[in-house]
Amino acid sequence: MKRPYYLFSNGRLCRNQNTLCLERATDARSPGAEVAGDRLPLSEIPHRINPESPTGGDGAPQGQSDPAEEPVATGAGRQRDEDAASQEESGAVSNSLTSDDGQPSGELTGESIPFPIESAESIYCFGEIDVNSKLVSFLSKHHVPLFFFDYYGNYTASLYPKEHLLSGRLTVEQVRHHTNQERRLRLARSFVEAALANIRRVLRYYASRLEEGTEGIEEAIRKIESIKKRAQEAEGPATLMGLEGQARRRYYRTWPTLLGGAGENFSFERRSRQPPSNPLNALISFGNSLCYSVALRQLYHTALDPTVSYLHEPGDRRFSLALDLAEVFKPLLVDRAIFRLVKTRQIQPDDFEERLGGVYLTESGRKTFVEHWDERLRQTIEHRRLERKISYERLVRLDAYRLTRHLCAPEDDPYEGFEMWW
Amino acid sequence: MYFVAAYDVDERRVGKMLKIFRRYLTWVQNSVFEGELTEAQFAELKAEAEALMDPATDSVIFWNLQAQKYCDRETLGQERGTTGRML
Repeated sequence: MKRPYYLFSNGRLCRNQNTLCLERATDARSPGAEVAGDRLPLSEIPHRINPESPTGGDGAPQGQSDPAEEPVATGAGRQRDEDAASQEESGAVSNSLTSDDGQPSGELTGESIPFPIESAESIYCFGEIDVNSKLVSFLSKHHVPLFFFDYYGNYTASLYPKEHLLSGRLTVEQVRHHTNQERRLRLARSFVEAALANIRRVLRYYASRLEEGTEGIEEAIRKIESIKKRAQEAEGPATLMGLEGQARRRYYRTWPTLLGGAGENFSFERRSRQPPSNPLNALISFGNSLCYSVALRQLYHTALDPTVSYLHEPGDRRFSLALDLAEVFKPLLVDRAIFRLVKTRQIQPDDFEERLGGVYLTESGRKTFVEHWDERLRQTIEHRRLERKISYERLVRLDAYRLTRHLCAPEDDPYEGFEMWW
Repeated sequence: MYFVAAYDVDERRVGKMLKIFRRYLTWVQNSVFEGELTEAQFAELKAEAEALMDPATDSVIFWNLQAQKYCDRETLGQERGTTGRML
């Protein structure tokens, strides 16, 4: 079974003949070129410009990790010019923070850790990792996507290897479903309905474990159900998004009750992001970006085009279909992971730090989260229809397959987003 | 399936064997490896090793432990290789 690898240490990821190696470097790390106000939203692709380079953005000597970001950065060139200007203004700020010359912060220690390429499903870089083009072609050949996270744990880039499962027919169907208002709405609605049903499940699951305050939860459940009814009559994807947001706000308001005693150190007023304002928001943001990456790497193994989406507007420079799919699985994967970690006190208030006006997980906090996350993805359930054990991660793939079937034959095999039944 | 594997091959083939094994499994000691493989991966690895080795003199052994949880691992002295997927 191929599994993801998570790199927390610094170093250089390289190909040594046919072996994948991590050459470890010392622990020193610096934040890089990120400055306040330069937070990247979940799905955007970065375009890092060295503020000190004489030529500005274009053609300047880049950090060694840049070639890795290139293949995915379709259209980043366009963005680059606009951003060069804004970067110049913020350059002064970033210089005062760190002398940022784009070079690795640590020194190579000479320790080299080979790990098996055949069992790597994807690679997550949380540390400061150097990458070169030989590695990129090697990973691409083995269909291994690479995900980058910056110093603060914000998701910054995916290296999405060359598509190997192409289907022109399916792409045409995807677009036809997108351009036909009725068909698009049908799919968008399925995503929202499934997401709301899963939220409801999560609420029910934790409400049954509560001793007090269940009335508040019951009320939230009723509210979410009424929103779900309204979603059935919604007239466009924008309305659906709004309804989904409403439901989520109501849902997040129940969190302090759901978390019970363990939650007293975690206050939660409202959802805020870019940057997250308190520890729970930091957990949600981090979890959501992991969930997005899971959806994306599952989509990679199907013939679906990850940029044509139904609920979210298909934007530039982001894989919006992965956002659609992630919406369905967030309650199951992200929210329950957060509840578990906070309630068992594996994540404590000292796992967070305040930086540049936002609250972020510390490196050890991220590690705890990712370890639990990985375990959770491997967890299996007995699938009702397939009558065999299916891992949580596989559920995402099955949903992508269902979507494919819907696109090919919407009448015979309509798509219903995955809904938890336990 | 969780495997422990070890090989003892002629000096001329040691390097080549190492490279094959490192692609599928995690190196833990000189010529000893462990890791999770699917049936297909196991078949591939066996085929590649078989093509390289000389059955008259070399030997490759696989222990199939089914799942990692059934194997109690205890190390004395230095842990030389790193298993696990958090690096």
